[in-house]
Amino acid sequence: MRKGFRENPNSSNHLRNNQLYQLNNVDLSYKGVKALNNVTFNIAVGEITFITGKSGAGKTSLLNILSGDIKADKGKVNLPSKKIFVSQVFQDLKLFNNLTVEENLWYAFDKSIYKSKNEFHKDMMELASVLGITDRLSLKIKDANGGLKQYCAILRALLAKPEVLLADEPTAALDNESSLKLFELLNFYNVKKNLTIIWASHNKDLVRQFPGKIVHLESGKLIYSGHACFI
Amino acid sequence: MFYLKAFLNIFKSHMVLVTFNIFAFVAFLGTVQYRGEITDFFSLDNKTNRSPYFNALISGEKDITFIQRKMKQLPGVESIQIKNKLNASSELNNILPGETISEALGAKTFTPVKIFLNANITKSSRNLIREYLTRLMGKESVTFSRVKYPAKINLKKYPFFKVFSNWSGAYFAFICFGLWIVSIILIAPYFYQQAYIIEKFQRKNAVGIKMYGQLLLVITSIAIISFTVFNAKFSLVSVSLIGGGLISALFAFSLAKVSSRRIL
Repeated sequence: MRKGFRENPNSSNHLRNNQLYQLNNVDLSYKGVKALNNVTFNIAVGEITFITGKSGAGKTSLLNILSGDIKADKGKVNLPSKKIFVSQVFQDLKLFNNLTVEENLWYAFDKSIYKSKNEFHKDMMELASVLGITDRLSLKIKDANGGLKQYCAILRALLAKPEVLLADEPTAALDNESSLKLFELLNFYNVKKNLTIIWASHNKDLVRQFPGKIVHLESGKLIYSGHACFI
Repeated sequence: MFYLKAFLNIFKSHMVLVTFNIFAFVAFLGTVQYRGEITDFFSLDNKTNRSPYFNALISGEKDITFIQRKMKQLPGVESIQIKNKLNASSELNNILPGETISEALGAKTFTPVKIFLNANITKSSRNLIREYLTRLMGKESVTFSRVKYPAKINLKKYPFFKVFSNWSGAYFAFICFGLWIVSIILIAPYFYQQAYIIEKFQRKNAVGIKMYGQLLLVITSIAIISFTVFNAKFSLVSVSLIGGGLISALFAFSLAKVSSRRIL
């Protein structure tokens, strides 16, 4: 650092070098069992990152750390500032079973980002038509099939117009064709709206078809971090 | 309005628990505001200082409603209790079976009347009331018992009841407060669950506490308006107790966030 130059304490390194998330030697344990072991990687703004690994590899734990819901036992975690809005697709979807698909989607209606209800409704119908579910919006979640529930959870997250999307197994209930359609939609958001996507999946073969960075975990350890084409 | 709408979704799915929570809160507000009246109702002093009374047997031929009206106008008379008419000969037969006196009385009937007097009535006033009744009925148509005083409960024998009777309003307020806090701890996870979803998809913070805070504000406002309609006066103590209760409840609600993690 140049002599006499004082660093602004409010500007952190990870924002200056375009990094949204920085994890350094992160450890996490649940009741003595290590869920994450010495994990280090970065995620930059506008990047698509796939977190892969078998069930129990630590994908959801890692997403929980990235969402700020849980804190790491050890290591350094730099999360985006509160100005950056992070939306989420949960593994258990967290939809309200007694409400319809449309009513669940209305949970994303935020007056601070939508000028009117009409604008939100227009966006909702547009996205629903892309995924082909416009005729099933009035179905109650308890009567909906797995695919529709999954779409509903994804649409709710996208309608919130986030800067970052954390998605935990968003294609778990979808077939290969639907998964591709979903990825195309997310890719569109990534390219057009610079949406940063962090996608956890146990299906390594599926995510290899998509462009993006892969963070591969095995038993909580980081095995590989880099572009999919280099695996 | 946004937070109340979000609350309605919780109400729809957890109707019993939410109703219990609201009911406990309203009961807390009511017992704090009317704790004086509750204490009066349960006060042993009220029960032990009952009025003195005397019994009278009045001929069944007399117009009892006229007597009741006239006696009620007298100063020193608190109330009059009229019992069912008695047949003199059958009553006497029960006491002295086979005696000829009952036959002599024939079908004569009497109306038993109990006259309650003012607690602080003087002996001379008591006598004047009895004389007035005699004059009203005629000497041969009425007969009296002596003036009786209800037995006083020895409060030293029942120290718990004495303390309870003097503080019953405060006890009830405390019990309602306890029930309210328990219901908050039970219901808070569902508020935080709803809040978590809203915070994940909308740019809002501290949704849970805002939701419950707004609900309390609405209920308190409705309660205050209702109390005002019934001419209630708000003492500084009542306002402080309600304010303290609200702060404690919001504190308990915030603490319950820890237990909410299991359902998120």
